Amino acid sequence: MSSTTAERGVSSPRRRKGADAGDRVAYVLLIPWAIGMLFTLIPFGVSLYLAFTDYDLLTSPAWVGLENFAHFANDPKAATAAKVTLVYTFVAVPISLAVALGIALLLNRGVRGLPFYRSAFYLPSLIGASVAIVMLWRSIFGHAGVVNRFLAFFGIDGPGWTTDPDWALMTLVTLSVWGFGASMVIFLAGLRQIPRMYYEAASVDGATPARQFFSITMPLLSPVLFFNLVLGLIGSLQTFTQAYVFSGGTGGPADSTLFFNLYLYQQGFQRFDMGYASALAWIMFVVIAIFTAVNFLVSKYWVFYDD
Amino acid sequence: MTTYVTRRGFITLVGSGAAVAAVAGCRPGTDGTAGDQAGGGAATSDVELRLMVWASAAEAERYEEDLAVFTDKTGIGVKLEFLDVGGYQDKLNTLFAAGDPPDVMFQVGRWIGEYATRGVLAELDQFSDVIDLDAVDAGLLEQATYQGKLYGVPTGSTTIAYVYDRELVTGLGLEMPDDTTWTWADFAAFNAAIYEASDGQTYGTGFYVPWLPTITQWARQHGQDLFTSDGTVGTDAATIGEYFQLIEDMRADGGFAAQGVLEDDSAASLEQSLLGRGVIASQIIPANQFSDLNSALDGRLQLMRVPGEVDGARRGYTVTPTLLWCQAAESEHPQEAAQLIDFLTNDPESYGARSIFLGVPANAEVAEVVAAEVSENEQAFVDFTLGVQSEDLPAYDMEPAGTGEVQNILVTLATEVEYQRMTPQQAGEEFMSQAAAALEAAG
Repeated sequence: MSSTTAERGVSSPRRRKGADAGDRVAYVLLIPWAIGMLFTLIPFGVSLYLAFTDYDLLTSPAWVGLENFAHFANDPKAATAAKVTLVYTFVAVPISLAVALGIALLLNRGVRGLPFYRSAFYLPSLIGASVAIVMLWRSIFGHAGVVNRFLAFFGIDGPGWTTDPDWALMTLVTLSVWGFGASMVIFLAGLRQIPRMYYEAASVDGATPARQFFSITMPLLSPVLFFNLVLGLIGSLQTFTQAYVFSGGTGGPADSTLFFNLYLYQQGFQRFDMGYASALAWIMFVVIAIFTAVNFLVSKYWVFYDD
Repeated sequence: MTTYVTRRGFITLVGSGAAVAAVAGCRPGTDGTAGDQAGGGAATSDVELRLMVWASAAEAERYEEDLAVFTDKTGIGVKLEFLDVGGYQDKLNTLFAAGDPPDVMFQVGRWIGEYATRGVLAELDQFSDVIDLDAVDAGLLEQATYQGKLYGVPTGSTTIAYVYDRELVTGLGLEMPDDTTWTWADFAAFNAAIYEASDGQTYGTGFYVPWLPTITQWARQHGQDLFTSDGTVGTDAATIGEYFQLIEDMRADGGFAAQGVLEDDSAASLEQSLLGRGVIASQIIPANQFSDLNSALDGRLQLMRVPGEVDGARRGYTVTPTLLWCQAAESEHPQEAAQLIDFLTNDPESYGARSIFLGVPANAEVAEVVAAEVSENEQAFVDFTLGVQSEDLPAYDMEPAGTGEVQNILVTLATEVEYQRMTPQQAGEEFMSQAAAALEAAG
């Protein structure tokens, strides 16, 4: 007994010492993160300050209080940019999720060569926002591009997908939907997690496939759907590269692809109004935070955690 | 982003890389002896200037060749930083913001206001002992002067012109009109005739409708200025509306390229461009690009004057600086930077490789020396520009701050009209209110 106590007496601090060492290793390993965080937090703070200044990039910032935010309230272009971004988000995100889920369900039925299809569908999402692909997209949908030639084959006079202000945004939606692969892979993983026994039991009870989908698949997949929805919304609201490359940075034709992020970039780097651009960035940040918060609040009513 | 005057033009320039190299190869360039004789004994200086330009790789090679002569003569190194025109202004602004601007850089006249009001460009009058400004054409210098101070030295002069595919037009059995007397009505009829004679295979013309220089000339022909000398809008809704109306009328009879056609003109080479493929028979260019364009298209092109110069309220033509050499106010080597600008302006040897690519040299004596050695195509440009310049043209003021934004407004309005979301008259009215607001915000 005494030896046990002695043992404890020895081993206890040793164990704590071991834990300390573990903590230290953790902190050491966290150093790169901390350094990276500094590079995020500093610009974060600076941009918050700049949002309350008149700063033209070239001369020192001057404090103007809430002027930038007042300007935002009376800036019709900012309203256009907000509208473009919201329309895009509310069209592109649901369609992308539906397509991703649909393809994931198909692949989950046990397709031969699944790894191949999975990679093939996943690939576009890796490169969809890259400059080269957007350029390619532009030429495919160009006035004399592949799509219109294909349509002409059937006697259809295709619209100016990239040049007509009524179509350009929808062309970008198509590009976004094409990148459904990232959500699809996550859906697929989620589907694989659903125990087969639920379906077997349901079959025995005579549940139709549709009934099985809505009563088993959807509830058990809802956390994954929620995850994809949150990421999709945030990503879409922040769209920049596609719009920048697609319109040559103008947000054209006729401001139809003037995304909020692009507009704030224009203000900061082209119109010499970094103060206003910073204010816009913070407005965007707050709006995205609100969207995400609402998403989490509402999720209580439809997301089902099986544990 | 700003759609620069030359966005389209510079796509063309970039595309012409191969042709440029070919032309450069057969031009009598500066050989090493020039540098030796002048600067063989020059002490090597520790100074290295940074020069920022937009250029294709082939163009940059020509600039570097000329800069090497400067280094030979003065011992001052020059590091050339070049990039595509699309990202140029963004990069430049970022460098200014970081307090690390290039010593010398390209600027466009209508950007100067924005930079000058913020005090980031050096006033070049103070270097008049280094830069021989007296040798430079006073009219051109006036266009680099903002609120009484000189902020840039023109890289050369140029003007705008139509290029017509003469071979194509005459092949259709049509005669080239007399461009010294033609009116806008003649122009419209001629372009429609091309469309008809080609059975709808070729549009008479197709140019970048919202391009500021074209609209400037149009307003001047109507007895107005796009901008007044005190920096407000100097035209009216009717004049701008009529311009858009002219384009739409021409579009209706095939004289002007149909909706959307021009957007495909970002082909990799001049041969593959709409003009090269005969989709359009003509377009508007900065005349200094004529040589590269015409060499690429086997001499099929003819430089033509913009119509409406004889029957308008007054002459509309302007001869303007192609680009400006500007110096950063914060340059650590202001004397050397000014020396470089002087070299690039007043030393004939500095034109060895680039020749008249950046316009007819602003120093008349230098222009004479340089022009004596140019190719036939280059000569056509020089003659055209000097011809226009020698005529009695109304004065032209430097564009005010906010002009870049006015250019963006025109781009949007042109699209609205092209896709029938606005009538030309509505676009004219929109222009007046939006442009006024943009100028006020910038001023």
